[in-house]
Amino acid sequence: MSRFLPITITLVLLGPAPARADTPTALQTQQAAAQDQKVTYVAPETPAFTFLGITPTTVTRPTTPRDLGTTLLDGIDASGRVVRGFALEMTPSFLFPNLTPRDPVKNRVLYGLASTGVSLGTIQAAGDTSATDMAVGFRINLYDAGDPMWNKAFQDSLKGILDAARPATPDEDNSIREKAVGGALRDLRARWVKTHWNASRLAGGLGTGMRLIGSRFSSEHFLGASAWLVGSYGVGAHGQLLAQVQFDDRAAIAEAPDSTRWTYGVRAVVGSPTVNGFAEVVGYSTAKSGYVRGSTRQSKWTAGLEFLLADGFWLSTGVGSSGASSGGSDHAVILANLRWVFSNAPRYTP
Amino acid sequence: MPTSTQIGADPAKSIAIDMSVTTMHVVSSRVWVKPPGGVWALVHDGDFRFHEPDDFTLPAQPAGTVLHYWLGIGGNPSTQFSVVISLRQDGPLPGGTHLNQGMTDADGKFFVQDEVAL
Repeated sequence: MSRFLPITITLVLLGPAPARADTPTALQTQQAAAQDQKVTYVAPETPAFTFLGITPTTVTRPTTPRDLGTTLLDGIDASGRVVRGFALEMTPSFLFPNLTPRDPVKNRVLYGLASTGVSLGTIQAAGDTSATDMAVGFRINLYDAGDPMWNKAFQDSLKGILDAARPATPDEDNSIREKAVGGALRDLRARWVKTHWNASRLAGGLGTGMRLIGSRFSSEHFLGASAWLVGSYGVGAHGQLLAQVQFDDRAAIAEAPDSTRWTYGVRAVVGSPTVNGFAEVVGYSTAKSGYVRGSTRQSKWTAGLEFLLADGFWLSTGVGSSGASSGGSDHAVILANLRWVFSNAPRYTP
Repeated sequence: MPTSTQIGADPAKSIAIDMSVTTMHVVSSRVWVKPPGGVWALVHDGDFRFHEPDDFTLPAQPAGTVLHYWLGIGGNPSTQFSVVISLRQDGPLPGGTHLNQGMTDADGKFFVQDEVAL
């Protein structure tokens, strides 16, 4: 097991791999994305986009049934083909406006709907210029003690802030009061994060997709599926245990073999929202079938310290069998046998 | 100012007003009415949240009265909200259900004002 190298000053910029001379196919891009999955301890907000390995610059977020219908119609062109580059994200609770919160049974449904996200995306399938890969994803928060909107006291404080912004008359310019709400909400949320940085959570996500031959629904090929289950458990006021399990299955298509991959991570954090020590084990197991058979397993461990230098700017250092993953974009320097990582994300998930 | 929608309420009967939110948000409300040729009069301050709607009864109003409501919606940043304002007289009034939907801003807030010609 190799330790970090004792290089006096080594600058490692962790960014995208150099562009290849040949353009990867969409499926290769997806598989590469699956291979490069970092253990972030956060279920993806939009599993469909994660499944396709894309980050759409424009995402449509319908908020009414009519918007949704229009958006979906826009996803099909005049000749009946699926439009590529389509990206949709929504919380489906708006589809049921008549489900008022009076019925306790329906309330349970609404709670589920209120914490569920649906995503849908399309991308051109390279290697077949007429085909389109389409994915749909679901995300649900099963439990989240760190979400202030599930906390009555926080809701009461929020109500007080909003009440203070009521205009005296309909004709009054209320912009000053309404603007003050923003600052008060930021302060309220900052206080919440300070005391709930290590809250317990459980969330899951699922993404699956298909290749539409000729970009039509009449002929499709199953691409596979990805699933995430992430959780954290707060230990007292200063500790947190986090875990993530991810499953990726990709069907054999074109030149790519069928493959499955399990990725996991466990992390323990002790400290505060600004300084903490951590220990982590991450690993994966892959298996391929078809004309390229084989399996691979690997695990890594890391332990160290991290500090919040400024808002959204973390410095971490430690030892381990390899550089630990983190949710943010990293820049690493190795000084005096220690690897120092600058990141835009901490190793816990406030 | 918002544009009034006409619902044709019976001026001889009171109006039941139900306010509810079907998403994880807290809503503060204020409601006024203005009779023809009159001035705005505050008739209700309320709040409601997921699981906890707010109901009140507006006494009979002369024909041509305008109802104005303000909603302050708060929740997590950049989250979709859905607020329903329903006016009833012996059942739902035609055009008496207002569905207010949208997304909170980066601070988690959104404000709505609208009017209904009773």
